[in-house]
Amino acid sequence: MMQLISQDHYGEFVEELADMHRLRYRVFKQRLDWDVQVSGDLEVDDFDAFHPIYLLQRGRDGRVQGCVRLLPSTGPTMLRDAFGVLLNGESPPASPSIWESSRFALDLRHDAAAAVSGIARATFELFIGMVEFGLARGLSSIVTVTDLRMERILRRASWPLKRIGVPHAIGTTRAIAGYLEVSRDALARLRREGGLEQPVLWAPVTMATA
Amino acid sequence: MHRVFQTFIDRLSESVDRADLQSTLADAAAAFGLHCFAYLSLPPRPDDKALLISTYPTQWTTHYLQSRYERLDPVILQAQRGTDPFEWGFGAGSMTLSKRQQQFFDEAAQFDIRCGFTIPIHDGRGPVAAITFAAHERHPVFSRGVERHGEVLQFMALHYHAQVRQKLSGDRIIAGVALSPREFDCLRWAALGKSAGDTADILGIKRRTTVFHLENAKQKLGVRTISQAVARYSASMRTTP
Repeated sequence: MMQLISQDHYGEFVEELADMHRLRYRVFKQRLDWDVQVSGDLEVDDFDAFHPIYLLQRGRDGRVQGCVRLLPSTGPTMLRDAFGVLLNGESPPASPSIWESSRFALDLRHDAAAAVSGIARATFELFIGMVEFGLARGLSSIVTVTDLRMERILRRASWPLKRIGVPHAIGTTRAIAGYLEVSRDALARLRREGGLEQPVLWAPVTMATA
Repeated sequence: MHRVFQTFIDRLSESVDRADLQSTLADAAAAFGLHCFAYLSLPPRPDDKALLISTYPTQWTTHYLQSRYERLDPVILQAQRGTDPFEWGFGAGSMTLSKRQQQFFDEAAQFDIRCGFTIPIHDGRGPVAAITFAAHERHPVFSRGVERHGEVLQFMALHYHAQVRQKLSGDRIIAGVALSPREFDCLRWAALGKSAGDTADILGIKRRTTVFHLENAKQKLGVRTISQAVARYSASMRTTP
């Protein structure tokens, strides 16, 4: 199940958000050992202060097992303010039709359901949620900073990253910036690959973000 | 609780100065039965001043900062050792105190600060800040507030720290060195591959001025070339995707 949480609903979903920051702690601090800001078992960074929209993916047991954070490219973004080096001299995108995704994280049980391509169903739900969100907002693309492993998963899921520049070593990661297409075509491809026919975001939620 | 958190988030994002930030956390804490707090942001360089936002008596906070008490305050020292929130005072936790630290607690007690709940915040390089909710005794309202809302308080503390950094820190910290906002801007554009001339156009300043800021940034960072400064900048961005 997917959930979209915007600033005016942070209060209502404070437990879910805390679960998400715990998931990010497990993934970014414990598993990847990134240089991130933590308190106890929560990870929160400076970009969470710009009231992003969060997409959460919850398992059958209600556990938050996946998340991604979305910020408009017209404001502060990681690509503009932290990873300019990945732009290869190009200007960072700043357009109402482009949002940035960051802190994409998944922490799945070993028995997680996989779609045909061997990619977890939860991964597809998050990707599809991003496209549905983008379509509801009238976006043309989502810009993101990710790593080479994730780039391969995106390609296999048939949602390839259109690279900006070349990979750079950032901390322990080989990072790469690029664009992800937001279109009906992209949505149809992801649904087909993931074997998911219904929208992952509830229709009223999708409308509310438009 | 949900409404308290929502109001806290909304007011934080509207806060523009210290007074706003202070009353925002004070009101949220009060809603949980916690009547005073102190947010202490540790300076990146040991000789710099700590940033304190609190509802403690001014007489105490002034004395605290002037005496550089953050260096011996046992609560801050414990917050520097680990990232888990903890309670202190009146039998909670065990602290071995030096004579000066005992004196310090005695002084704090004169201002009715006798026990508390402290939330440490660390980044990859170590401790950066701590938020304490304090009380003059471990009365039931305080204990209940901490017990019931400890988790959300921790979450609020992290949000608070992020907002304070964004709103109050004029200086930007690169590799433990504080750059002025202009030095930081010039370096940021250099990192994006812009020449001094381009950067001057973007920022609406003279090319000469851009070069001046970049020279200062290099000097502060202790490097010889712009590329080295850019490398430091990129490496020190504590954020990761």
